[in-house]
Amino acid sequence: MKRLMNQPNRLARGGLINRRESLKFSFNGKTLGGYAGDTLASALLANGIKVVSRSFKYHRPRGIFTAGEEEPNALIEIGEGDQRIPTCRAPEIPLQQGLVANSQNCWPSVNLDAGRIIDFTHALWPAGFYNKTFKWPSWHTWENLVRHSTGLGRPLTEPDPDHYEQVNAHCDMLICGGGPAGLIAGLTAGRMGARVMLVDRGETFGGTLNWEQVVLDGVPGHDWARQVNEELSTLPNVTLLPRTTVAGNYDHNVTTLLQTGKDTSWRECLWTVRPKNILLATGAIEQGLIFPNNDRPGIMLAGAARHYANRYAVSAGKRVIIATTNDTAYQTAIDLARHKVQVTTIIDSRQNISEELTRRMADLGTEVLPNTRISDTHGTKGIRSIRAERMDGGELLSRQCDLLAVSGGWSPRLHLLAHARGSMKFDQTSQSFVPDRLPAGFFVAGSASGTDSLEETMREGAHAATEICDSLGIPLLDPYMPTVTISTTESKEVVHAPLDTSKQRQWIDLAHDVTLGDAELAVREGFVSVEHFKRYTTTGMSVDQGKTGNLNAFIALGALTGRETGEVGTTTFRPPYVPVTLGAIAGRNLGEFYAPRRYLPAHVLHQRLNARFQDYGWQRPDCYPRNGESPEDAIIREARGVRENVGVFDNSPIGKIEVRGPDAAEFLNRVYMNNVLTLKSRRARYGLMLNENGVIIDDGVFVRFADDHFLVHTTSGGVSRITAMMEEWLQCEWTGLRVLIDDVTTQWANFTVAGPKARELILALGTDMDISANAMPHMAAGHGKIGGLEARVARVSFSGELSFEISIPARNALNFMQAILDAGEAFGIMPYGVETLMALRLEKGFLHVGSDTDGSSTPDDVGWGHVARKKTTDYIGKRSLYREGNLDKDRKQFVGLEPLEPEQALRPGGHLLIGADRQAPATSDGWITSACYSPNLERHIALGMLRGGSKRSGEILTVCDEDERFNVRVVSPAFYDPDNIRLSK
Amino acid sequence: MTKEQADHRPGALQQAGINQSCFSDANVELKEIRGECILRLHSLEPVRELARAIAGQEIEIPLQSNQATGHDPAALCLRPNEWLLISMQHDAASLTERLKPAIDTALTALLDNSDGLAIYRLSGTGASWLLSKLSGLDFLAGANGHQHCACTRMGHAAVVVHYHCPGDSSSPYVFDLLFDRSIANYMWSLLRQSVPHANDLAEAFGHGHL
Repeated sequence: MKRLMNQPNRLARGGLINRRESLKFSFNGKTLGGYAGDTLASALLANGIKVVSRSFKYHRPRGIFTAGEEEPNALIEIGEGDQRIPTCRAPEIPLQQGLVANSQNCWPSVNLDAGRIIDFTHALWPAGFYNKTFKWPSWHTWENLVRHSTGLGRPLTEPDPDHYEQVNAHCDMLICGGGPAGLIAGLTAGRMGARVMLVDRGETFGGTLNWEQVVLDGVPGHDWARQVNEELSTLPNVTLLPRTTVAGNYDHNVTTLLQTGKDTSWRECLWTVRPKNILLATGAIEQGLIFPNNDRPGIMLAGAARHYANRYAVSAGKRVIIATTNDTAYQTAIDLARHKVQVTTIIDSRQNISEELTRRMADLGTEVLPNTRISDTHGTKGIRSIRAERMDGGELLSRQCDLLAVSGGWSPRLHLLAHARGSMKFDQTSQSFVPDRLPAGFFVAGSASGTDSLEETMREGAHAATEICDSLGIPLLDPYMPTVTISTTESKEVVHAPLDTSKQRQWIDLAHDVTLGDAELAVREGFVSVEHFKRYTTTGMSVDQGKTGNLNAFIALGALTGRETGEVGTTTFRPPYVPVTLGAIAGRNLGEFYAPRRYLPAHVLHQRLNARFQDYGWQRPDCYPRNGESPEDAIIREARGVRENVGVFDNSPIGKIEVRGPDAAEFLNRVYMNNVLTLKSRRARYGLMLNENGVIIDDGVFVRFADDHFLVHTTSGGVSRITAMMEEWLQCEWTGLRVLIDDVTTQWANFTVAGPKARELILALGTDMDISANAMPHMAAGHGKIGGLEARVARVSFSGELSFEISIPARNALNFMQAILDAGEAFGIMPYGVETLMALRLEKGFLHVGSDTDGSSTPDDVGWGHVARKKTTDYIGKRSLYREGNLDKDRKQFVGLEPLEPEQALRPGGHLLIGADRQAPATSDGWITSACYSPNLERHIALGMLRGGSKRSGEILTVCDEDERFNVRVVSPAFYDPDNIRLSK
Repeated sequence: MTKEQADHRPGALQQAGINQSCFSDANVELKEIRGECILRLHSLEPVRELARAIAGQEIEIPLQSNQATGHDPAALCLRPNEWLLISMQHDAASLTERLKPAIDTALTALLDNSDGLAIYRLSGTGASWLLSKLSGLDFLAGANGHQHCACTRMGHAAVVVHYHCPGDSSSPYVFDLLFDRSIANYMWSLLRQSVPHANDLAEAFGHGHL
């Protein structure tokens, strides 16, 4: 008894809680008690806690309104420190020993919240107030204040310590909802042998059977559900997923499930299921009623009051009044009476109430007031009394209460049907939207289809399962159907009371604090389309997505615009059905799994050489610092070594695509801006690839080995994209061309040997090829043996030096590079990294696609327009090069830049302003795209894109780089060896 | 460089600096396969005629995507005109020589991919759940009894899965995963770290036929 004394609203008997296992938890710092099997909501109600949160906008005190995921009020922060989780729905949080829960969106406390000032001045803050007010002096003056005031929970500031998993699965039949329809469907299909996944949000299957006072096959509903669950768990073809919500349905029936872990190493697991069929057995959500001050703590859905009493042995109040539009709320009176809780009055908006219900209420001593509606409520921290009026203009009544249970009918949970683009229609009898057109492979059973009766619900579930099995060719068995001996009151007809529009403070959407006044304002301002109405008022746009408010909003909009609710229609329900954590969406794609780290075939050797690795899509050395050397010094040393002697660069990631076939040349001639047909065998050519808009998308050297055999080099990050692009053109547009495309990037390692002593080094390695300048000039290619290995060689250069790019099978990468280093020792060889290469190419003024170009750069912009226009045959992007915008002489063009003060460092991103010593405000004429300290010129240099830049050589500009201003001169991009003497040797 | 040196191919994990090549627990065995030869056959020739010609070299290539035939070499049909040929006994040069008489080199590309791809072999009762966890394909349908293949994604990686019995027909079936050699480290970590959850799934839901 002592325990019960501590929980004043705990009933002496009943419920599916374990009274032998007491649990302690804290709410807003106060220690409270509950039982295993409780939820946070049931435990709070048992402890007599009425105010659990403050509303989103007006900071009005709010209590628990529902018993499920549809909860709009009781959004609670649980946990502490980095384990804190904001905005959890209290009815969904299983009570655990030591659980810490706190109210949110209130200061200093939930019982005394300073934010309530907004409620007292509510006339100033109607729907969309921020669109019309705060225009002086500017919206931004107020923006911070408004933004600070909005939002519910506090986001975590530390990294989430929890772990999340993801799984893929397939099945014949995904059953969404483990209530009576779902259970019988699972049992039917499971026994027949179909691959079934049965999913339910709850800890245990059974749905309403766990709390409605029904009897099936002579046993209570929850016992029957447990028996079925036991049988299902023995079937190998049935997967049971409790604590799991079907979050969304997407193309091809791909469906996501969010599973909450229990005693697992992970917090949540996101399932991606590809079911052949989906059965929606999702039940229905009870709707609230619209009347003045309908948001006070102590106002609760009638079904929820019944749920808490029957399942958790909690009476949410001691003096109970029910307000309803339908018969189901009478069941609450019947069930509470069983628990010795008196429902004093039922206020029913209908004129005619069945004789049976009238008689039963009379037996219970409950006053029934037909044709009556609530006209107001009183009580700040909890409802104290109501006022009601007869709709025929009769007397005004006043009644005391501490719980007002309301029922505005039931709305089928059809969100997944909407995700799948099924359609709904409005049913006048139930005053709700029910399924109309179902997409292929979709089935609906039970309350989700608008069905009231338990027997019919189960028949529909079994029938759907049989139909699915039949469609899959699974041999059918006679479906088992339990005998329902005791059932609950059915909803039958719903009749809403006419709206009393004389009072504005009637809540349509509790979660977003949207009132009837807001709805009227929206209509007055012409937002009469349901989608416009939703966005103007923000009804249904809070975290609960309007689960208990949408239907009332549609009904209100209909009433305010003189339309039938069916004519108003519904808004679009989009996934996810419940909030899905970013952790679950990310799963393991964090840290090392965020993106694959690609390793060079000679990675181990680079490690031995003390390479400094950076992720360039691959783990590549950016330089090789020696003995405490800084990276900057290493780059200078390496770059000078290449210019003076010889260097070796691991270029293995460079894209390598083999293009073969009788039409290979014609194909590439259409792909490249450059002429491919004129390229001779064993020759290479630099080329640009454009997209249909004439924008440069990739560049590289292509080599012709034979008439019908090319090797296309792409940027290392672009090879997959370019291969896919080529395949798309080949398969979709140029289907007549006989071409084979194969990405062989990782099959071949590639080493660039560059520098004035490169030729001597290769000869020292040993080769059977004639690599003299005459036999293999710049842009020539060949294959033969180098260092005893079969190799492909191209005389191409990105450094501006005499350079040989050598490709060998990747298995030999490490040994081959070691051989180069060994042989090169006599020549002062220097391994060099990506940043060194970037410095070398920048000295030479070579374009780097992606750094120096962006999503608007055309060949004209980078100095290749003459080549593009010389080519007479068609190629991708050609047409676009002749568009007016692309012919503009004032487009941004590729230029070189040097600071007037040689010590002045340049950085990419700095804006170029017209004239010397220019101060803001000034129009940007372009920007720096690449910059470095030139190891060989011993000064800072840069490349950039400048408006009309090709004709502005010698002009002085101001660079605006954050707070720095300094002057630069426009020069030719080729800073070093502009006549290409070195690379032609 | 000696021929021996030139022919030696280090393991993909070894190339990435990882001194591991196998892992096992009660439910899953994972190991890197080394020394395999992988040829990519890509052709513009009519498929049936090509298959007939290649059959003359005692190599059977399947005609439909996702089918796999043969033992050594095994032939995996990736798409209507593209196959992977995998052999542990032959090297790329000898297999290429064997195939050359059967193909029109103007219309068919025969490329050595042995250095570009890596293979991990996955077996054990937890293998199906591990693959199902990582890939959108249905690995739990209970399709025992014949070898086949599929192209899929696991994490961020494009993977070809080859389901077959590697020894003789009495050997248990295994899954060979073929993927880009440069991401061997990523695939190894992804599979290894997914094993505990896959084991949990297998324990909770059984080892197959979801």
